Amino acid sequence: MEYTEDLSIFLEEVDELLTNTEQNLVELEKSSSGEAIIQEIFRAMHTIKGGAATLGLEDGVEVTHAMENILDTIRSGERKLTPDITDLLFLVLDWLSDWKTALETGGERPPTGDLMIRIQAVQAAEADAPVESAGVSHPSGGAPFKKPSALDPDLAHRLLEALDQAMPVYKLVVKLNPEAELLSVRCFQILVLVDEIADVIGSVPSKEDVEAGETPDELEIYLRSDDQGISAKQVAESVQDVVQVSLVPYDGSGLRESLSSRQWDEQPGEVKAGDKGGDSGPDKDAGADLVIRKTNLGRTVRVNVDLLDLLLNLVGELVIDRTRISQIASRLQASEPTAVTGNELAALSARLQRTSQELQEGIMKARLLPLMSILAKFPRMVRDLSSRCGKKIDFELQGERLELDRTVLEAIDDPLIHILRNAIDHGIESPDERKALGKPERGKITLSAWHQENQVVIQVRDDGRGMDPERIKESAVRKGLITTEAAAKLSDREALELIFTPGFSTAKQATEVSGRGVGMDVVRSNLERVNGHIEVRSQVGTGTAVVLRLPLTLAIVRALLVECSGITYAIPTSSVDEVLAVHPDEIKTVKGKAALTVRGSVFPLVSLEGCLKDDPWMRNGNFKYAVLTRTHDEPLALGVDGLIGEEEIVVKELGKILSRLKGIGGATILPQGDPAVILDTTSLI
Amino acid sequence: MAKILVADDAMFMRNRTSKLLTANGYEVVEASNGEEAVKRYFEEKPDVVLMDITMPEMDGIEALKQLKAEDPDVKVIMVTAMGQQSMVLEAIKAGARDFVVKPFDPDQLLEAVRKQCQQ
Repeated sequence: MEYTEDLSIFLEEVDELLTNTEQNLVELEKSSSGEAIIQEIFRAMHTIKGGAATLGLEDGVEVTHAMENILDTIRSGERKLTPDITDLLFLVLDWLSDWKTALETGGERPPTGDLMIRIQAVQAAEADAPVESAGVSHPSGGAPFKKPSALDPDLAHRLLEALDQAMPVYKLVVKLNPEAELLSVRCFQILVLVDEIADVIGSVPSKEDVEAGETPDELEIYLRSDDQGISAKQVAESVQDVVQVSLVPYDGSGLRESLSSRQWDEQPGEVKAGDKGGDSGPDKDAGADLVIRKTNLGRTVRVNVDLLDLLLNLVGELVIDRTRISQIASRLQASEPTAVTGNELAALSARLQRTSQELQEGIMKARLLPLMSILAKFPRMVRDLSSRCGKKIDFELQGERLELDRTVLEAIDDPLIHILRNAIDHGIESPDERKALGKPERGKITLSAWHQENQVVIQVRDDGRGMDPERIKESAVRKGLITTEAAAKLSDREALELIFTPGFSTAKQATEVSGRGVGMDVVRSNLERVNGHIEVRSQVGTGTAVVLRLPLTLAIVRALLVECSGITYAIPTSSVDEVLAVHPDEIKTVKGKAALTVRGSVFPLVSLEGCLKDDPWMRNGNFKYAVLTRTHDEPLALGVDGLIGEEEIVVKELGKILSRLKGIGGATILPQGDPAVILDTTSLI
Repeated sequence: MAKILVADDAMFMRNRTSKLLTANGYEVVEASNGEEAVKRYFEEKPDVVLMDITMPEMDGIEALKQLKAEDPDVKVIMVTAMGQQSMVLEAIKAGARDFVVKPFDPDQLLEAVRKQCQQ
């Protein structure tokens, strides 16, 4: 459905806008100024409002519109940015994010009631404060318009002058739909357009009054033209929201009388609304402040990750076919009559290999995402957590533009949260404590990322109290993780390593911030799953740095996880043709060896257990499933005890010594943290 | 077939507008900010420009002014939302031919575009 499609594009955009706004808000709170940031937030609200209105999401319009009004008064200097307003902005942000989630999941949208009360309270609180000149019109309203009864004396004079000349004067009366939006601008548009093709003597209300925000639903335009005002009438008729246009010759009857009877007093206390309050011009300050981040869509498209995975799999298929072509080529090369064709085919296969390799690398690159995509939420998190702990912390991000494979990003998200929490809760001291130590009251946490050789290094550094190796040792001994003797022999560096031991946690009790959650051991195993590495450096009194080292890209494959004698093995799905349940009576014996017939084709049947024990034909019909695969281009059925499922796994090299093991292509660490061997079916037997 | 340049930073709005215009037989080119709009205008020479006011890099009014300076005959329809009164006014002063208010009625937008194409 079109609506659903529109909605999903809209929500994706909202998501981006909210993320940006969140960063901007945190930035704003720090600097408590920054017109450019306000402008950026305003624009986000504005864009959301526009989309919401188009999709008929009234609640979203209500909230963003109210917020836009408040921001507008700040932008124009009518109102100061107070902590109340910043808090309100955070609340609005949270509401919008709930709202977005509800729209995504089809859940119940959050009510606007409470939030609107808060917004109105903020609006009311300062409504009397701003200095407003009399007659300032509000962007939504506009000053009420007096019916054009008496002509402005200035206009009357000009009309008299015109009537004295030979050219006839016409009066164009334009009626507009009073319900139309931006009515005064519509009037202005008409005045401008008519002015272009006719000699306009004046109008009621005047162009200046309309510009100042007067919103009439009827315009009187006095004009002269070569074509008796016909083209002027046509132009006016063509403007949107115009209901009726009439054109009559104007003879100035009653004008002289009204003029002479009138006193030539200038209307006292004339209200010349200097309305520049509402929308103060275009965003002249946009871009002036480079601190704010912009979402630069650049030359990019969005691609579903599933599609990328599919492409990656297809490349895998290509590689397999390439291998087969190369095998066929060597067969052809082997015999004289076909050697030439074989050579050609071999050359082709070599080319194919290069292309498919480049293709694979390209797709791996497409899986890269900026680090920012997971870091974006951290400034807000640090802000919230530190205020909850009563600490003052400046948080800085560096190198957030670096790109990493999305699997790596997913794997480091939780660890980073955990590390940051630790830094806030245990690392940074309270403001009083810091003062007593002669440190600046505000603590500092820096998260920086950079490239180093083939790795990305992410470091979280705080200037807090640091970790005391002696205390860590004591704690480890007390928890029975290590003996007193062993502890005594540890260097400081080794002592710090103890925090990665399962069951270790230096916090005396679980606090609200760090929570019970996971320990550093889980953090480490999370990272190891993606070939990452973590280490800690710390100096008592000066702070702690946690350093993560991560691979730039990963060899990721989808694999079928199977079980054999209680051990899990991974078989790349690219080498799995089919999986079947096997009943013992289906197993035939062909030439003394076990075989399975599948839809008329005979598959030699070996058990995985046997293969790994170098006795592939071992007769032991324990297996319940058969994986149909190929080995040296020959079909093969591989008997396994159980099927666990399909998983995306990261391939790890086994190193030189183990690399020649028959049937084994590498190793991986499963999501649960256990290692598993990746089978290479082509060399199983 | 008339060519329309749709300049809006919100992909959602661009998408929607483009769909509407394409379905009605117009050729559409898009720009996601004012700077791009100016660039695309001179590359593509569209018949009409639909210009959002609030955009990053360069807002719609500045873009309009730049277009107008280079090509006084440029036909720009401003696309605006409630509460941007003075900005639309400025745009009209700067030479925008027309404006439509978001959320717009598809017929109104088409009508506005059609009118500009005729002139």
